[in-house]
Amino acid sequence: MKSRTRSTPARKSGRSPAARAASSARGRPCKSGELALNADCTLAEAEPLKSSLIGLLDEPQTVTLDAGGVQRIDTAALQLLAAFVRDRRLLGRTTRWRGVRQTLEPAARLLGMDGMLELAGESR
Amino acid sequence: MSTKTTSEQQQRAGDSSQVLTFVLGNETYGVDILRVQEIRGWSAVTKIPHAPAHVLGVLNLRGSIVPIVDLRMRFALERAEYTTVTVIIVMSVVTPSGSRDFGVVVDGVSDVVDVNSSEIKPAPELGTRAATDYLLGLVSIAERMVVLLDIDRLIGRDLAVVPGTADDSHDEHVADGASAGSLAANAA
Amino acid sequence: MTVDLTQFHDAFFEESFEALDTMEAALLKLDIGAPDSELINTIFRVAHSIKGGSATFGFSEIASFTHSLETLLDELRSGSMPVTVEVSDLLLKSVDVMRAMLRAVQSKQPIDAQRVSDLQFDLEVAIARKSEPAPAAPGRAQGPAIGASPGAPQSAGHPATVAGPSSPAAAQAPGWQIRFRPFRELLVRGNDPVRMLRELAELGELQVRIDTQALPPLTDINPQDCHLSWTLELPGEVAEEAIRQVFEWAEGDCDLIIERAPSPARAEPLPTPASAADGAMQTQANAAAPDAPHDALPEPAVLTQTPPPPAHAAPPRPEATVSALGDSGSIRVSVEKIDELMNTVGELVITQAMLSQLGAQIEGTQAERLRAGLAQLERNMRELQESVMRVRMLPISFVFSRFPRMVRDLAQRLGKQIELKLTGEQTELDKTVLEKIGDPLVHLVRNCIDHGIESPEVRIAAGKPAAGTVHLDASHRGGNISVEVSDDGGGLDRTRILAKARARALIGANEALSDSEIHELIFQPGFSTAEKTTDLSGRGVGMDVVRRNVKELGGKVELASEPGRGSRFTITLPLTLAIVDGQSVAVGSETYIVPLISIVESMQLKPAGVTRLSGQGEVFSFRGDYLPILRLHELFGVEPNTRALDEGLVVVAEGDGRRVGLFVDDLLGQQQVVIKSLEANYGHIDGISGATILGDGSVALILDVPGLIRVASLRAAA
Repeated sequence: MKSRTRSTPARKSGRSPAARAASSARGRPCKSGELALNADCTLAEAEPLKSSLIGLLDEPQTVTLDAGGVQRIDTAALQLLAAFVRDRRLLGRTTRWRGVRQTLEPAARLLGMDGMLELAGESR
Repeated sequence: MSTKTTSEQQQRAGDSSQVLTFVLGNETYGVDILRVQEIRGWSAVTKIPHAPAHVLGVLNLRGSIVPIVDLRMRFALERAEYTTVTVIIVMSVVTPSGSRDFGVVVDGVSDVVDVNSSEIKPAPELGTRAATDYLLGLVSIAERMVVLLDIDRLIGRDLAVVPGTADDSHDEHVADGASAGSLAANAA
Repeated sequence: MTVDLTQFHDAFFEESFEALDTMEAALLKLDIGAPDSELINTIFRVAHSIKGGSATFGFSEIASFTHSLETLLDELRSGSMPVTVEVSDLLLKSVDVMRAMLRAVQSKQPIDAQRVSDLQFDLEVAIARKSEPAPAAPGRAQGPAIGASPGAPQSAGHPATVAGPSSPAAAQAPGWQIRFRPFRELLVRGNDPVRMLRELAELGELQVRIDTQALPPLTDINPQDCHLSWTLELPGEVAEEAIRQVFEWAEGDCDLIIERAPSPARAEPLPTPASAADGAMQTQANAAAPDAPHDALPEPAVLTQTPPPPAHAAPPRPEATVSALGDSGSIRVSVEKIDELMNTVGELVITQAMLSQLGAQIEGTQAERLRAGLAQLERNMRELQESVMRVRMLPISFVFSRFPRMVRDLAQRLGKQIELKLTGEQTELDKTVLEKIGDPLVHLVRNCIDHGIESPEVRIAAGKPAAGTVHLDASHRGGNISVEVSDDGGGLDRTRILAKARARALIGANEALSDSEIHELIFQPGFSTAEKTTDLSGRGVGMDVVRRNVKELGGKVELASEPGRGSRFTITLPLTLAIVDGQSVAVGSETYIVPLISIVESMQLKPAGVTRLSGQGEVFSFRGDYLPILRLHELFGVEPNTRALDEGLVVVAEGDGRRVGLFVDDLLGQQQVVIKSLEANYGHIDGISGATILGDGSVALILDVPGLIRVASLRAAA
């Protein structure tokens, strides 16, 4: 049928799909899609965060989320980020991270959300 | 009473329930008010073929088709004229095949009364049991004797005699096959 | 405090059955040797979502079985295992077994464990045997898992899920399992799970599994609401009180269950059933292993492995349990709700008709405006009615989809080669009709395969291709739907049918019959020409049942056959059972509705045109035939306006291939009527298919013409 020409990548490397998706994105140039998260990623700021994320949802290029400046982050913000990363993945788009180690990653890890956020593929 | 214990009565045991009473000829009858859906005036019914004589026909009751039974005819009383004051009590009847709505033509509706189960006296055995087992019992209200009816038995039995309900369809079909020839010959 | 999951069971079963149908259809399309990766992905997704759903609901047998299946499918998907006929058969059997398991669970019956474990064994063997050894393949290391606990294969399925090193302390103490389901308003009440889980993590080596199934798409999220929930495990000796304290402030804003962990807490995966659930993922809170691959992303894993985005145009919604194949543009509505809507619309139509009648009688300055308004109302009502009807319409592919599998199996068993052709699958019809058309069609298709299509040898000898064709075609014809089942087999065997009819004394020894009369014979009860009783035919159901079923739907079956060329059955059905196009006729004071589908013509008789045949009653000549006259007033015991045949009208009506003249007083008009059940409160009446409510609020009975003919012929015979 139509899609037979399409190759199905064998699952040979032991790496997770998430890791691979991120590593394949690494080679590509990325300019347009970047969002530096605010210092305050909390419930109070969740509405504007949602709006900025929605603006990037359809971005065909890899989107980089910069969490380097984040000082406080709570469940409300992480929930939005998780939905963002997931929805982009479902659209076949890639998202990557920068500067998560300080604040974002520990919080995400506490919530069991680090896998879903694909933090593992952070470019350093 | 022991022979006529029904679940309806058992529920009543010890406490009182409400009964709608209505008049038919010289008697006053009562039915469990919870079974009464609505009371409405008479309007012309649509006849249904092959129905028992006391099933007058069907009426449109807010979109459902409801059969109407003439209780006078059911009780073999003299038939009354249907006038603008003739009343139909619409009741829900529990039958083996589920709950159904029936309209019952009566002479007039009297009252809603409280009946304590301890006041109910057994109905006298009149003739064969089958003929009277729809009587739940008798109760005296304001010096009038009210006959309590088990409408499931009274009306439910009418459903059993509705022609062509399920069981006989098979026989019919065999007969159909046998007679197919005669009509085919007709056409030739 | 527990969330009652049973409320979701129905949806799970419904979606799973649908998903299995999809899987089956995909399997049947799968080319041996050169499988389409899209199809394999579809199949994989079904298995995966059923696994996830059944794990969530604790249907561990299903979860365990689908896990093995998923492992096999994963091998196919990666191309490390070829798609062979054996594998394809194995997968089809798996569909059957999953259906059986789901049905058993649904009806709370025991699962046929032997059948399941046999097949699971076969699956495991197939996985183990695959040509290319893959050291990382988990299913293989596991070996054939007969009677393995549901947990074992699952943990094997996601080895990478096990994050971090196991801690020795965790291996001993029993620990706690905490299920934490915040209500939406948890966040706005000032509770932050990040803080709470941090406090818990200070009590011990906390394992966290988040459930994001309820997380809506970003665009739909209310940022104030909490859409997440968690299952936590805290190993070691921790006082329950200490845990409760963490949740102290959230009390009332969440469902919280704190209980002893079922088995000694491991640093390994959390208790199995839920670990495979969609959207649920786990990690170890304290294990700092940022580079550890996160393989706990079942859904995305499927998606990211097939790189080109077009395939993801309509991705499954992650928040729905088993909607891997669901369409995000639709919602599920119960049939009862639609029926309610239909009823209300039916009522509105009647009310509107009453108003129109009233409006026609009103005089005065405002009358014109009123009538214009009523006319507009009538148009709107019609549109509304049609829209609601369309909601109930489903494509006939829902029924057709079962045939590829059936034909394949039957052909295999009978040693015949059969190609199935399906056309017009998108033809829509009412759901009630759709549900009832399935069995008659199955019977017709079986009949084609069993009696129609010859064996390959016979076909080749007759100069036909070895493979026979069975063709199902659906189309709309006027207000009806027509479904044809045809084959290119041998056609009806006249000689055999005649011989059998004679043997059964259905016809006289020397009676000559026309083609149509022979066709009529096979619809007789108990008539079957199968020479040997196979499990396909000879179950006591015959073509008579097909005809009866179709007739009950207000339709008819016709048959055309050509010796050596094949036969064709045509079923004609009304599009819906809810509404009928009818002709109102008057008999005395009563009004009856005759369905237009049954009417051939209406005419006035001349006295000379009527003949009285002895024993047959009155007949009249119509297009070269003599048709019996059925006087409706006699059949229904109604006092007519006239008994003279030339003063009333005769409606020539057809049913079961027989024609009669219905004698009525007058014709009143044609209209669409909403069919109401007489059986709901009363019972079936021979010759009457239902009732409807006329514009004036009165009730009219709808005639069942085939039934009437039957009643009349019974009377004539008596």
